Amino acid sequence: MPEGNRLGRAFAAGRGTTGLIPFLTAGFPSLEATLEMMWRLERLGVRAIEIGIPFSDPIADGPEIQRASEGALASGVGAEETLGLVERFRSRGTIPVVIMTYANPVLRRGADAFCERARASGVDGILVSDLPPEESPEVWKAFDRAGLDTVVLVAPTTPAERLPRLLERCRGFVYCLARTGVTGGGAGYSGVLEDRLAELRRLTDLPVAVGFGISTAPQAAALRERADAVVVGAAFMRLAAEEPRRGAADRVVALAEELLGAFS
Amino acid sequence: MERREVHGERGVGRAAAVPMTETPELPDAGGHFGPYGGRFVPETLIHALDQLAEEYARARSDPAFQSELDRALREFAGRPSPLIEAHRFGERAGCRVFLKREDLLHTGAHKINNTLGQCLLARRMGKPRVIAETGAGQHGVATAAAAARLGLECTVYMGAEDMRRQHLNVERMKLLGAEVRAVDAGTRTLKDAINEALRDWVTRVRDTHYVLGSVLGPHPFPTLVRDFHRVIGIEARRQFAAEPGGLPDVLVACVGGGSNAIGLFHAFLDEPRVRKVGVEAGGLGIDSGKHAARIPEHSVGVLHGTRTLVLQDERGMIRETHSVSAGLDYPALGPEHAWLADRGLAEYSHATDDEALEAFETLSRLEGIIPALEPAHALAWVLREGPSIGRDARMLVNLSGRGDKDVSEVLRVRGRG
Repeated sequence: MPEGNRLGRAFAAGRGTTGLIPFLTAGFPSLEATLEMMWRLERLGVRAIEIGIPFSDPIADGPEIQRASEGALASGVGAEETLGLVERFRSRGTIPVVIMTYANPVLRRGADAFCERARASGVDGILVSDLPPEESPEVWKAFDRAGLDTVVLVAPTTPAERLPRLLERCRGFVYCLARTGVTGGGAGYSGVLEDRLAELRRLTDLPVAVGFGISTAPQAAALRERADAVVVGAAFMRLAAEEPRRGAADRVVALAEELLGAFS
Repeated sequence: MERREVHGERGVGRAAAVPMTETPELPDAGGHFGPYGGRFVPETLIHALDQLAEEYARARSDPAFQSELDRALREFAGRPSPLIEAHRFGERAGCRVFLKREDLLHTGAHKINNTLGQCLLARRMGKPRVIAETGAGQHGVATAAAAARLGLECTVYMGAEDMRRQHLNVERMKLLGAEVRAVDAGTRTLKDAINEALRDWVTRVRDTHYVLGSVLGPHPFPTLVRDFHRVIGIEARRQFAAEPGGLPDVLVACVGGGSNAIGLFHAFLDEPRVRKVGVEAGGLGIDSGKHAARIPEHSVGVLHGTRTLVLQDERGMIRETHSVSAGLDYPALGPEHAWLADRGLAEYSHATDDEALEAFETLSRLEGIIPALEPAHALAWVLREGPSIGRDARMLVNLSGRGDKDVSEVLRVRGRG
């Protein structure tokens, strides 16, 4: 199965180390820039890449990703363009790609049609920010049928008794939020995270990635050997928004290098 | 079914009672009204929504909560609100017109029914802080007032464009001790205020309750808000039966998210003979694309935690809306309305900005009542359709708010300000 289970293989290959999963909003500052970032990040050795589909009402996102989303939307990037971007990346890119999206762009297309196109484009996993496991079973079934790994979020406010239900629905890796709130900013993770990670380790063999509020090398370094991967998004989108726009990929790659340095 | 009627009867008999003893048929356990509703939110909020649903279920059957709410509705909000016949307006409209005077409630609109209920729930849950979104400002003012009365900290999110349109309400909220945060993102109206309120809630969910202002959002909000507004229809039905007697022929209410409409309609859902008409904002006309009418396109989507009819483009992005009335200027319809529309249990129409402005002036001059621009849409429908419905037809319009807040905006758009 040369195409299947890229996420499983990537985490297996990196066992015992902490990987980096950058999040990029598709099409910000441009589709070409995102594609360049993806290829260069792969060369740097990131574990996987999360690609966000821009949405008009991103309720789980802070100002950095809102701005990136607005910018991408203004230049006409939606779900179709995002999947087209992944397809182009796949012409030579081999690391796993996870699509991060809100429910509406998926439902608008139709879950089955969306999944078919995503799979054909070389997407490995999907994370829908506003779709809890209990909601719309038909959509989750479509993800399963297409063989997409369904990454599930665990929040600091998730009660322990709810974890089994989330983990049962989770494929690829668990995305553990370091704190409550929207993406970006914040003071990094708090002490409670340690307990949550220990709890997750007891309950699942799936790799655990930690994200939300992690933007600097020291914050990332603090998670070395605790998390299987660290997700960083808003910090990249903040850099992508700086002038001059044409230097966006250079700035993103420089931060990724710094973050990867924290794990070595 | 028998049990339902018994409880319904008891609810009708009580002066200012919210009949929470009744078990509504919908939504299901996941908050679905047929294909609509549900819970489309980030994981961080799930626990808070579960807590809210549980606390609400306990409160519904707690006589102490009921009596405190009844008392607050009576003494603070001023329930029951009168039902009057608008003779001169009816003559103009070519039918008999009755007004449910929610505009006479404290803070000037029906919104207070819900904010008192939710702020009492927040206190029960031990949450010292409430947040709210507001479009026209009425829900913000009602939340600020209820929060002040119960000693809760209050923050209200309001689109910058709406703050301009509804300046008076901004000042009222501040006087009531609330912090008003301007939202500059997107269209700078209600939709973006809800985005920002949801982001606040995701961040401070542990000590904060989100007092959502319409029959929208994730479960249990559409049910909770509906139940707190059911008192409107229950009172109106009892009042109408006493004078002029019998049942109205047509119920008419404006529909943004749809809280005042659902509050009126719900007590009459067992009476198919009573037509129920929800009036959406037709803006500059449906063909212009500048409106907030969701029913004509019947496009299903997810916004702000619920699946319902929304205005969106082919990519699934939410479209900009337009209405002269800030309270109706919103791209999603309450999920229960979507379901009522599909089932033919209620019908939906729209009125344009111009028609609403005309009705605003007509009611003011003929009845001495300045309506809010939102219910002016319902009145506009009556003026338009009344003649074809017939002289003896009895229409009951939910006059959901008063128009003091709209005076300067009306003068501005009429070119007299």
